[in-house]
Amino acid sequence: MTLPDRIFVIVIESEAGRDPALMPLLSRSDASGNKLTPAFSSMLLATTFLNQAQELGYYVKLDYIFPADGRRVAEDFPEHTIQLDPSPEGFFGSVSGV
Amino acid sequence: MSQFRHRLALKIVLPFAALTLAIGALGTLTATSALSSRSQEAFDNQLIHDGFVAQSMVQAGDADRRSILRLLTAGTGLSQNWANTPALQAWLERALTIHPNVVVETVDPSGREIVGVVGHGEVADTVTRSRDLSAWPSLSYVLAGGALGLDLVVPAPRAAIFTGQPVRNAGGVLVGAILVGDFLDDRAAAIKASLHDDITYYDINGQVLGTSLSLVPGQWSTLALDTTTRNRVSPTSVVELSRNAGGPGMEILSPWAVRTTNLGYIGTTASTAGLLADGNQLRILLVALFLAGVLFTLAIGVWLARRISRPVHRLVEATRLVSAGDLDHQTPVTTRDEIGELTESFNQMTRSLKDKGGSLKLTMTQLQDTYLMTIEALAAAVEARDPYTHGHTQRVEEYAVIMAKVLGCDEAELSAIRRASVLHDIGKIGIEDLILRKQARLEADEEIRMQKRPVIGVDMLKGIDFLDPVLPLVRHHHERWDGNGYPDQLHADEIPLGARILAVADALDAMTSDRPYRAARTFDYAKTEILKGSATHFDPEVVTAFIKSQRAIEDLLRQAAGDEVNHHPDPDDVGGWRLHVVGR
Repeated sequence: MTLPDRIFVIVIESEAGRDPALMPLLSRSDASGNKLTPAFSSMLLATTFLNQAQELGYYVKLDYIFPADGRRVAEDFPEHTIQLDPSPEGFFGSVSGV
Repeated sequence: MSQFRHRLALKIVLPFAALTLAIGALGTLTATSALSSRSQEAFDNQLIHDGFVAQSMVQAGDADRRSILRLLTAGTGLSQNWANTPALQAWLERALTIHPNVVVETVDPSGREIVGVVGHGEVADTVTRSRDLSAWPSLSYVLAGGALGLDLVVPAPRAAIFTGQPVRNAGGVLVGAILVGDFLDDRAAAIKASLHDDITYYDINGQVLGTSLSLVPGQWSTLALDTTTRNRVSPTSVVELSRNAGGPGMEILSPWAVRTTNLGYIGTTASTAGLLADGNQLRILLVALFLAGVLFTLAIGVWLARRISRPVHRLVEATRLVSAGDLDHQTPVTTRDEIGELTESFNQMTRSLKDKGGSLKLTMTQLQDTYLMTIEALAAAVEARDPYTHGHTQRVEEYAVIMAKVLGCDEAELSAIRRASVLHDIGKIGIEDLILRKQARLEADEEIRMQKRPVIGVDMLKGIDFLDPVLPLVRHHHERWDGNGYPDQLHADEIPLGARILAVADALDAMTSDRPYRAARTFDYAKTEILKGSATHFDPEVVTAFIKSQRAIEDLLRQAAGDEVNHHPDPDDVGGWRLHVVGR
């Protein structure tokens, strides 16, 4: 999947503070154990995603909508599998987990 | 300032040290010189005295030799045993047991030795016979019966001085000669034993005949006297020479004469090793005393210098503290001298400065307050004359403070943001009304003029000290996150956080307020635009803070519009996600 140069990921609050190496991204694990992480081509889509997720009952403790380089995101977050501009229904589905 | 430390102490101690060194060195030199000169003089006097004594002892030896000769020839023993050599030898050996260290030679009229005996105390153990002694100087004169007693020096093989006289038989016929002599090195050693000075016999040509110096005969040539030296020697004066052969020493020379015969010279040598050692010891002692004196004087100097400089250092430290702003500092007055007086004056000056500084500070604060009020009044006037921007600064302040609190800004940052919100558009004073109040979009050159607002504003606010933290916010609130803003094209974190917050707040109010060329936009419109500008125009972190605080901001908007603006009838459906957790 080709990602735009600039994407936005959702950082959730963490007691570890703002350590870039430990920055917890909003994500969930699928059946095979992959960490699925939503990323958005604009901040508007990110906030819309959050707004709709709230309406659906998925509450996100937002810390920061983080702009990232789409060309390097796989390198920066190797353990994450990026999903671009997902809908809340499509992302959360029946699985929960961060 | 640290390079000035201890200069005063050095100024006090260094002259002390230099003076002490100079006086000490001069004193030591003078004392050493005087004492050395005195020692040398005493040494010389002693040497002259010893020279005379040595000469007397030589003359006494000569007299002894003649006495022995007279004793040997006075009786009949010599003539009775003369013709019988064994009997003559036995007679001579017996005679020499009471005259040790004497050499007796008997020769026939042709100069051939009959028998020669050397006395060595109780036993005369060296006997010679039949040697040809005719070549001995002046012996032929004695054998010719020309003299009753003659002194002659025999240089080889072992230098000796003899006194001889002819021997006649009962019939008065000359049968030979008898000579009584001393080996010169033995004589020299005997004199040294009692005088403790070395004796050297020189012949008339200045060559060494015998000496008590610890030199082998091969080294004697080093002692030879040159003509000039020999010519200076006379019965009424002595000649003093410096000698190194056989150890350092001084030698005085006197004539060596037996009766009327001038045989050569006698040298009396005293070792100067002791004198040199004494001189060196004296120098060491004086130098040690001198150094001790210098150290003592320096210690006194350092103590005095510290005593003087310590209050001065305290005063210097006090000046540093006062110049750094500590006007409460008072230096303790520990002395009643000029430094104490200076310290007291300094304390008075500090108190006076504090009093005057206090009132000056108050006046400055009042001035700055007045100026700020003027500026704020101007800002209000600028805002008031434009109906489209009325209330803008107040709303920007409220939005900005809400977002700043979400971002965790401290009280100082909040204060700067509040002030900057009020003053951020003060630069509009420098922009013509035609541009400010234009009913349409600005032309390019007009936009350039408008972009000078932040710089004009900063220039107006620069004189007020406590607005220093505000100036960067005013100057940079039109910068963009991607570096395309103005006036300095700062990028991302280069832009002060307060300015990044002001940028979002300013844009929000600009969009949600009426403008000459359009009506106010809805909050959703403004939010969408801000979200679109995240990470390009605006700091995404501030945008996130805006999202988190949108409910509070909307409340403000509703209040401002008298509840006319209500973009979200159900406030719970927006802005609440920051309080919820997924998957926990």
